Amino acid sequence: MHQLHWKDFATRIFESMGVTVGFPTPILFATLLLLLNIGFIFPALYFISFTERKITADLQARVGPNRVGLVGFFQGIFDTLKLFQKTKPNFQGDKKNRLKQGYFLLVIFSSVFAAHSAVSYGQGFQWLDTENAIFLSLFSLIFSNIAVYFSGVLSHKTSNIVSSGRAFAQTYVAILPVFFVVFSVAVNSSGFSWSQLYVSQSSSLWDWNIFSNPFILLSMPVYYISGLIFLGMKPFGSPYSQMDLKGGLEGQYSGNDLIIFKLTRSISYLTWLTIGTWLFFGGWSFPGLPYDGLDTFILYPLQTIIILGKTFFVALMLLFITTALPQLRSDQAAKLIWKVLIPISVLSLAGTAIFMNLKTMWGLD
Amino acid sequence: MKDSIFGSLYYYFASLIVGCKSIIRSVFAILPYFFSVSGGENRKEVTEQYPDPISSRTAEDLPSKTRGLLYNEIEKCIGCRDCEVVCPTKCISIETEVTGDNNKTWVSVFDIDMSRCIFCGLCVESCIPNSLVHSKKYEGAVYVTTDLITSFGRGRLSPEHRKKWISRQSSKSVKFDFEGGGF
Repeated sequence: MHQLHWKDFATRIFESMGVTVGFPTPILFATLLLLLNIGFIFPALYFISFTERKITADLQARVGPNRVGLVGFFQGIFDTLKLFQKTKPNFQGDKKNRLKQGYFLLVIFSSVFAAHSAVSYGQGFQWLDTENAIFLSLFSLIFSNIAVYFSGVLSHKTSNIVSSGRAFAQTYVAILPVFFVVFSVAVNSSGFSWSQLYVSQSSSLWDWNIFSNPFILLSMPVYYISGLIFLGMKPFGSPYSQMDLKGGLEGQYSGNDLIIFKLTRSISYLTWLTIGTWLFFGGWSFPGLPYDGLDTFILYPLQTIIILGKTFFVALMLLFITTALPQLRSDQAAKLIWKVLIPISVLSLAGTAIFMNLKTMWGLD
Repeated sequence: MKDSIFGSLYYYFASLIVGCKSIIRSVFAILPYFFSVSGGENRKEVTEQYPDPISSRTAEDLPSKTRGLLYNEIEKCIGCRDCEVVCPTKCISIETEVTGDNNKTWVSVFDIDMSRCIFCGLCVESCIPNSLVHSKKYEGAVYVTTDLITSFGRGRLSPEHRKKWISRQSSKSVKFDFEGGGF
């Protein structure tokens, strides 16, 4: 059942370039994922961050980036290059300690990319199609947060130790409602695997999980809000904020370390949103698109474009909402999780089960 | 009702709905800014140096979104107190009096303590008749802090004026006279 489509796809791509494929499969898949990242994901993430900077500047009656390139579009690239040539300050402790911190940065980077590669971006970029693929991704993100905690503790600065503790606590509260939401979607789709999620949502727009069951519609905001808390994104981002504001986690990095840390944060956010696209908006299914009989060279990139298109549409909507809200402390975020999101997610899990039973009883399937 | 389990459930969901409503309101408040990215009057502003009057730039050249000292056009003001409620630093104080006409209120005191104002612009956004605006004045330096309290109110109604007002209401031909104390 679990065919590895990406293997044929990768072989065909390399053969068309005149390369005989004799690599071990992990290297082949890593190359393919690198192509996906450079071709689709990094440019799109760059565009999203540019839009965010412009909109935030507009709300604060500033212009935002406007010097480098057309309307300041290349400002981000300029900032990145500037960070690369920055020398690291010495306040972070002795050399041995900095080595340890670098090790934990490597752990964060690799676990976030493990989470990223476990998610399906279309059949061409699909490493796993098992029942635990979603959980592999979620647990990798949790693991990256443990590394964030230890790197904060090792920085020997009180502000970093405290804020890493806050980030850790925030993450471990936010994971609870997510599991309830994932289980309720699995009840609705009768499975966790990407292929099962696609099959149950593919026939029409009204088969998408968000439309087929009112309780899934209820649990959708729970998933996205707890994702923002889990990753410490904008309204809940106080543990990660810059050092001069509250003593956040980003203050312990500088130079190219900061680039890697910021990249892992945006990649983990994208991973989260893509899982959301799979759970609620039907993956690569798109009403009215004839998938049968398409060549794999057109089909697989098309699936990727549809998934990323849906994901970035959701990202823009979230950007629009979160820009309007004030920042919350981590204890306020925890209160929101315990008092609102967990009850709603438990309710939606129970409701989904009852709804599916009633559907079967009345023969509506 | 409030102590029973149904009461607490009711208040739980009611507070949830209030929270959702406030999020929706804040989203719709930024909607005009969101679409002003592409062009229009709001896009003209640029960050600039302190605009001193010696250079060619004057206060009139400042961008349309400039948040200068607050100014209230008291003829337009209806005394609804929305600005007083929304102000995070509580720098606006309003006192109103009842007039003969039920649809109008007499705004006798409208004081803004500019030393406490943080120029967030929330009062201007919440003003229904658009009477409260940010002027383009930006120089507010004074020797005494109390000089920063700006009064826009019409002054308290004296008993004689109240009488005149009532007589004006009874016979519409009598013109209301603004002379005298308190104005």
